[in-house]
Amino acid sequence: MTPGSEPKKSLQKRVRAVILLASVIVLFVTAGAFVTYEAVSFQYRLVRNLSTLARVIADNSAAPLAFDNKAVADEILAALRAEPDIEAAAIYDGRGNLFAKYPPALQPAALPARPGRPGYEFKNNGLVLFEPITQEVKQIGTLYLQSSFRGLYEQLWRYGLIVLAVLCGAFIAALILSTLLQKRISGPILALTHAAETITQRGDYSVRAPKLTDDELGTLTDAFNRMLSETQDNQDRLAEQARLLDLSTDAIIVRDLQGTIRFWNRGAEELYGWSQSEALGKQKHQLLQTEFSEPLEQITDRLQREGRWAGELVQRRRDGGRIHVSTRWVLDSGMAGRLPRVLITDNDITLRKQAEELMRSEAKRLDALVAQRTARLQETVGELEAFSYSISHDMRAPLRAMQGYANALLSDYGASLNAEARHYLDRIFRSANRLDLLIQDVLSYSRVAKGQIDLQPVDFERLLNDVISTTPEFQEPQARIIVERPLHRVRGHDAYLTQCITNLLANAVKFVPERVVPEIRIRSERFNGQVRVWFEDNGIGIDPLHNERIFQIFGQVYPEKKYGGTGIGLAIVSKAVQRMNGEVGVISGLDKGSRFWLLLNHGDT
Amino acid sequence: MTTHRAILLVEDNEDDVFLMKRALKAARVMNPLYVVEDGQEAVDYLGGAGKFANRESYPLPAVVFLDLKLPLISGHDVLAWIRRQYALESVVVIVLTSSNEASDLSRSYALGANSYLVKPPTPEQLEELAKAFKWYWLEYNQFAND
Repeated sequence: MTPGSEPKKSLQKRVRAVILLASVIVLFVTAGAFVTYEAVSFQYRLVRNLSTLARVIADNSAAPLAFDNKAVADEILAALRAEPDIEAAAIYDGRGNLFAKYPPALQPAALPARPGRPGYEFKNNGLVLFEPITQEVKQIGTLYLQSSFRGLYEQLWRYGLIVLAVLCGAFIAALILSTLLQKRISGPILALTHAAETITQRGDYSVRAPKLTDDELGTLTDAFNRMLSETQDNQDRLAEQARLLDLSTDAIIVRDLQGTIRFWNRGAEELYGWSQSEALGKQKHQLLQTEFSEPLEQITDRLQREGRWAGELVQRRRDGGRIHVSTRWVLDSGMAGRLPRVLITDNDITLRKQAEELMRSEAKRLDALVAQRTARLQETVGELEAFSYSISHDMRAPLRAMQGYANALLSDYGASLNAEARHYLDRIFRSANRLDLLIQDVLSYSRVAKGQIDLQPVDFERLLNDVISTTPEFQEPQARIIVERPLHRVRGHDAYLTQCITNLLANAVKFVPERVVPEIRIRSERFNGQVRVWFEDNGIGIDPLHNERIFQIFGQVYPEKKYGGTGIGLAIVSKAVQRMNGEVGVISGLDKGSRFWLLLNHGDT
Repeated sequence: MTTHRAILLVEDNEDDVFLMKRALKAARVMNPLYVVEDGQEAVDYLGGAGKFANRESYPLPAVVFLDLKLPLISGHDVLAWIRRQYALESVVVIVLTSSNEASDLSRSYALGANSYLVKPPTPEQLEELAKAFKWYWLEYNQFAND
């Protein structure tokens, strides 16, 4: 028996009992009234019947009594056999003596010794009656009749049976009626109860209680159903929301301020591996073995103050795997009467973290690689420096020896040598000389290319004057140099600029047609916030075809035999200018002279 | 006169020794010239070690021409050693090298060189240098132990 069926039985029983009790009480009262009435009217009828009978017998007995004919009198009395209720009868004469009796076998002692006063009396469970026997108004005797209540009892018994039968019938009728009635009354209530039970047991709010009547119970059922329908709407809405929450791939968790998990969506199940039923009621930070990036108190403090917090946590899945999550916490202060809760949205950023980690370690590896390569490069540069140092020492020494011995041979034994031998010695001497120049220029170039320099304002005019005054080839009458003073100050490096000036002037005085005195004009101008210094010569000029080539190392365009040079001079200028954040260029044409320019930062910048 | 002062040439390259001797001769430098071929020998000569103890045969020089790139002990180290010796404090040390690297130059002066000369590329220029040396160091310069 289910617990829910208990009140149903009891309600049914109670309704039926009430109906039956009412019916039975009504029946008993009715039966009682009827029986009482019957008993009273029976007594009345009995008295009347017996009186009538006594009158008749008394009238009939008058003659025999008057004539003292006892036999006739007995005969008359014997006729009472037809009345089974008559238990005894007697006729007394005028003197009060027993004259005749009935039944004949009856002992006289069972009869009253003397006649009583006329009238009736209930006595000894029966009715006794004295009737005067009269003749011509004169009383000549008395008749005694004694009747039992057997008839009454028989009748009462019959009535009892009838009442019992009626009672039984009525009871059955009442039972049927009550069943029908209780169906009408308790039916709707039971239907409500059943509906309520179904909802409780199955949680199915789509159940409706059938409306069976149009009375108050019907109204109650309607109200109940309406309430159910609203509840179902709410339930559906909640289920919809929960379904939407479950659709989210983010883990959505609600916990109270004590950390107990109150909500756990499918995303959380998938992310952490704990099912909803396992997670609910657990302590979140224990369950997930949360590792906080900052103290929890600090986070809680922020959450209380600002209502939200976002960060990254390391937590553990059910299988023990560590995962990085990006988490957002929002404090829900709750509706009235509800405790505040924390809504947590987590998503897995482990892959991102791993990628970041990989990138970091990769970056570190690359850094190390770069550092290693840089170190190797510096080592190589150091080796190169050592190499150029070694060149300056070791390669130039044998050259000096060649020059020295050739010179010594020429001066000591020149007289004994023929012209051809002297020519050979001269070729040796000049070749050695040229190789020395080459080596010196390569060294200059590498020094310009590798040296660490600080740029500072330079008085270009002073540098130019120094170069001209220390180099005879740049002075009259070998060359004419016109400087359009004043020249702008530039930002550069003394040694590099000196190298540039020297090389440009050396080229200008070298590349001139035969028998032409080199003439060089030097001026400067502001150009886009920078300074352009012009070196304009009257030389043989350069085909514009070679404008770029001449600034490359060994980029010379004129035969060495005719003009000399190593082909490195302009390359040194180009490299030096580049190191000073400047530019170099030329405007020229064959036989038109060359206009070299240096573009440098202004000395005030 | 100044011709008695000895000159010590520390030079491992025999060609350079030949050219230097020739240039000094051309410049008419008459002072006795002694030559050692590596840094260790230079230290031994100046310190009077071994056969150099005989100052009759190996007199203490007034001027030392010192190459930087030397076997055994480098020119810089020889220079540093000289400047640590009390007895040699007045010896004139002239660095004569093929290097014109700024680092060699500054280091030499820091260690106490009296002069720094880059070996000229041609015999004529070397002869000019020898003449200038004679004129400046031997004729005008006043030595401490006169």
